[in-house]
Amino acid sequence: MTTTPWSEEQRLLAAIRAGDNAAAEELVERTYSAVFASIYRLCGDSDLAADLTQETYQKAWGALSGFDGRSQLFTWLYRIAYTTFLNHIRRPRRMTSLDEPDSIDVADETPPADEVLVDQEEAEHLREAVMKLPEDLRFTVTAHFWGGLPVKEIARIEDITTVAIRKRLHKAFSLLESMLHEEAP
Amino acid sequence: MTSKRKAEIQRKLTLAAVPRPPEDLADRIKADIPKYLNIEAERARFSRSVGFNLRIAASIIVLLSSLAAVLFLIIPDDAPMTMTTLSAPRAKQSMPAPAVPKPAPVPTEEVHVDIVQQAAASNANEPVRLAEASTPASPRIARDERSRSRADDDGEVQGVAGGVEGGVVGGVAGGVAGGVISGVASERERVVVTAEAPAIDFAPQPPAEAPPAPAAMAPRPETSAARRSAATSGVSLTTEAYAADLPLRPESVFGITVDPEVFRRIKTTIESGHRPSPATVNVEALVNYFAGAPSRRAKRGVRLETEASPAPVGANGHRGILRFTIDTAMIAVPEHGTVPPIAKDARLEIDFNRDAVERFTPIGDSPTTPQESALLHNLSVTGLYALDLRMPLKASQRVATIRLHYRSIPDGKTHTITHDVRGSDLSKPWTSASRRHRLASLGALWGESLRNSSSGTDVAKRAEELASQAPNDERARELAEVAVASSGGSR
Repeated sequence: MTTTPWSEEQRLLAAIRAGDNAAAEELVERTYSAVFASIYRLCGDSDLAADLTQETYQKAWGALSGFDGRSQLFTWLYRIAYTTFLNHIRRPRRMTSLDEPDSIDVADETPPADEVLVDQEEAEHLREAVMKLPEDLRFTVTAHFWGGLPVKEIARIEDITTVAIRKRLHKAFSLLESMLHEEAP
Repeated sequence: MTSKRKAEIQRKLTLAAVPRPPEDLADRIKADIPKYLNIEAERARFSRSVGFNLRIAASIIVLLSSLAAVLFLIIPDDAPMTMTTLSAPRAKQSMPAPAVPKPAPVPTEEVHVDIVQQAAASNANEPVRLAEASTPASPRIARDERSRSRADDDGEVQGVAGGVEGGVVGGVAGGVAGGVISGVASERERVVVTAEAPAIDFAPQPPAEAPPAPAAMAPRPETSAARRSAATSGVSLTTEAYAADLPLRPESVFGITVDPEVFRRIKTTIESGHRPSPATVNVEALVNYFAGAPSRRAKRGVRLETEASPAPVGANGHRGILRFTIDTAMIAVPEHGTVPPIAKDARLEIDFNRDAVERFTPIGDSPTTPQESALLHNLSVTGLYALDLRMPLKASQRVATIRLHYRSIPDGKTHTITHDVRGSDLSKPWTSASRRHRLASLGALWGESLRNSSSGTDVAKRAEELASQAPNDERARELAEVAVASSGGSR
C-alpha cells in the first residue's frame, strides 16, 4: 500500500473536489494496486477483483463529497471496496473448494506479482476460513492483514478503541485456528 | 492458542500471493473519472437551476392568486353565466387526442444454448421429479463411451466404477417420464458435460406440438419488456447473442435449451385462455428464461456461478436444488453482427458426493449428445439439478463439486474454475437464495406443473411473493402473472 502523507492527501482531495481530473488520476495511480490487492485477497479471482476495483472507484467518486477526512483516504477507499465485495457476494453466492486439492480455482490468467510464499491450496483454505468469520471479525482481519490498515485506523472507522480491535483480532485467530484444524485431513 | 500458531496464521494472512492488476485496470478506472466528476458538477448546477425555477414559479403563482382575488372582488353577480359560457370551449379542448400508433415491439433475445450431458445412459423406472407429480414423455439419451452405467435390479442406475481419474465416473442419466433424467449417486458420481460446436450429432427432436398461432388466437400483447427494448434498440450497440447470429450456428452448447421463444409461446397460449400442451413445455428453456443474464455482465473472461438451496415448495427438507450458471464476458456487437467466441473446448463436470446426495436429477429433457463448442461472448446458460439429500448434512460437508474447464481464446490457456457446494448452503431457506436462483427454480417448478397438468398453485403463490418483494423485477412479475393464470387464478 502506498502511504500518502496527510497534507498530500488533503491537497489531492481539494483538487479533486474542485474538478481537477489530473488529481483524480493521481489518486487512482497511487491507490488502485492496493485496492485491487485487497479485493483479490477477499475474492481470490483476479478478473472479479479488477471489476470490483473499478466499481469501488465509481462509488468513491460519487461519495467523495461525503468523505469527512476523519480517516485516511485509503482507509475510506478500503471500506468502499470491502462493501462492494460484500454486495457482490450477497447477490449470487459463489462457493469454492475448501478441501479438494484439485478444486482450487486456477483460472487466474495473470502470473503472480510476488513470489508465491504460501502454498496456493493453503491460502485458499485460509481465505475461505476468513470468509466464514463473523462480520465484525472478518472486516477487522481483512482490513488489517489484506488492506494493510493499522489497528488505529480500523478503530477510528469502526468507532471503537484499539484495545477492542486487538480483542477482535485475537478472537479471530482462535476461530481461524479451529476452522483450519477442522479442515485439516 | 500458542503464540507460534498465531504467528503462523499471521504469516499466512500477510504473505498471500497477489497477482498484478490487469494492465488496463488503471485506464478503466480513469475513464470513469470525468463522467463521475461531471455528474457532481452537473448535480450542483442542476440544484441551482431548480432553485431558480422554483423561485420564478412561486412568483407567478403569487401573481396569479392576486389577480384571481382582484377579479373575485370586482366581478358582478352575473358571473355564473359568464363561467358557463366559458366552460364550453374548455370541454372541447379536453377531447381525446387521436391515437398515436405505438412503436412495433422489437423482441429481445437472450442466448440460446442447448445443454448436452455426457452421462451414462439409463432407463430408471422411477422418475425423479422436482415436484411430486408424474410427467409424460421420455427423453432420448445418448450414451457416452467414457461413462457407462447399468441398470440395477431395481430398475435404477448406478455408476460403473471406471477407475478414471481415481474416481468412479458414473454420470447417470435415467430416462424417466417427463423427460427428467435421473440417477443414483455412486461413490463419486461425476456428470461430464461437454460443449462442442460443429459436427454435432443431433438426435432429431420430437415433433413439438405447434403452439396456437398468435394471430389466429389473439393478437400478441405488447409487453413492457418489448416496449423497453423498442425504446432502446436504436441506442445500444451491445446485443445479446441470437442463435441465428452465431458464427457456427451451434444448436446446442451444453445441451441446455435456452430458447426464450419457448416461454413466449407458452405465455401467448396462456394469455389466450388455453393451457399449453405438455409437449411444448421445455422446462430447461423456462429455467434459462427466468435465470436470464447477470445483472452486470463481466468485462472479461468466463464466470461460473453455483448455488444450492432447499426446494422452493414442499415440506421435505431433504430436497434441494443445485444451480450452475455460466456467464461469458460482454462484448459490443453491432446489430445483425456475429458474436465472437471467448473460449473453446469447454467441459463441465459435476461431481456429487454420495455421502450427501442420494439421488440427483438434471432438470430438463435435451438429448445428451457429447459435443465440443466455443463459448461465445454475451452468453448465459443455467442448469438445475434436483437433489435428494441424505439428511442430516454437516455444514462443512461437500455436496457437489462443479468444474468448468475451457481454453481461453484471448490467452490460449486452459482454465479450470471449481466451485464446491456444501451442506451449509442447503441449510439456508430458499427465500434467502439469490434472485436468479429463486427465479430459475420457480421457473422449473412452473414448467413441471405445466408438463404434468397440475395446478401449480403453490408455485404461483411463491412467484407472487417473489414479485411483491421486487416490484421492478420484470421477470419476477412475468412469472407471477403466468403462474397465477395457468393455475386458474386471476390477478
